[in-house]
Amino acid sequence: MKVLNPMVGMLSNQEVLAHITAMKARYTKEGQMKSSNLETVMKEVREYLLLTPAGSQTPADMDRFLESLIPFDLEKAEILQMLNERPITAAELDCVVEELESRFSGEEIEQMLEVVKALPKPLKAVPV
Amino acid sequence: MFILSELTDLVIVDPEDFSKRTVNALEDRINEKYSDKVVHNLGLCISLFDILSVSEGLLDHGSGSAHVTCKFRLVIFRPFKGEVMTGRISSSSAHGINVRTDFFDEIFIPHHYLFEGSTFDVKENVWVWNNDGNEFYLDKNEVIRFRVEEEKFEDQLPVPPHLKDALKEQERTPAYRIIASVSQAGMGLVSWWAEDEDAEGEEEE
Repeated sequence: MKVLNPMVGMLSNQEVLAHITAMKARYTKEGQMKSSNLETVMKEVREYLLLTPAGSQTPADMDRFLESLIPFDLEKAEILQMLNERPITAAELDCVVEELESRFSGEEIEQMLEVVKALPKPLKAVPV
Repeated sequence: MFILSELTDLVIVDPEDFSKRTVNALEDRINEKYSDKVVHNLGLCISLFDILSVSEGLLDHGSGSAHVTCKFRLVIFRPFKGEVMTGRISSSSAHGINVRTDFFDEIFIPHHYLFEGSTFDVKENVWVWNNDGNEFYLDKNEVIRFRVEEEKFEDQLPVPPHLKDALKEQERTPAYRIIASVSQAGMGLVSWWAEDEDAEGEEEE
């Protein structure tokens, strides 16, 4: 076993959830058997992600979100965290974006919060 | 939280799997080997993402298995330093708080990484944050937001057979451990900072 590239790229929670859901559908359709460790981790990751904001996001939501954030010139890691965690208060946003107060004016912060609020709300319970 | 990694490995397909489509047989073997396992200095492997290339299969003359060199990408759980995530408090002790996500157990918040002014309530086994006279309890099973500070990979050696029974599972250091902090405004129990979106008013602290 050899690791060729440990970091090809980052995945948003929504992309991972979509991948797991597609895998699950494929396995049920083709009647394939899953190994127990795959089954366990898939179930646990899916249950965790469904309760985060990613659980209610679609790829269209993500595209719209990324486009709306272009004028703010944020770091990739900051945008990813905003997508995954959906910080809707200034205090939460301050945890995710470095030097929030010094880089952005109060108005820009309000605008960013509006963009984040446009993302769908997380689910309260895991759908059956 | 999740990253994509590229690996190459020798995958052995047994003759009984020759009836499956190659791509399915390889996917099953790769997932069997890597899912829910920690690769040293890489992270917790979730599942196969896609297969990039496959070599010709060389048959093993003993068992008839096909040895195939595969280049593939895996979905790995490895939060980066400084990343903010949420999890549930699984237990607390005087040393700190243990947090778990559904799929990963080894997240630890040492006491010096908690808010200033936090104290440990020995009777109830919970940490309490004292802020301006208000007491905030970090109760078990509550959803908590934390920042990843460090990651620790421990290369695990196999246990010699004569020690296997003596060594309990808990005594082994985990292969992958995350040290986190809860010390900035916005961190801690999610309910402390939540804003009620449905109503007009704000509900802070």
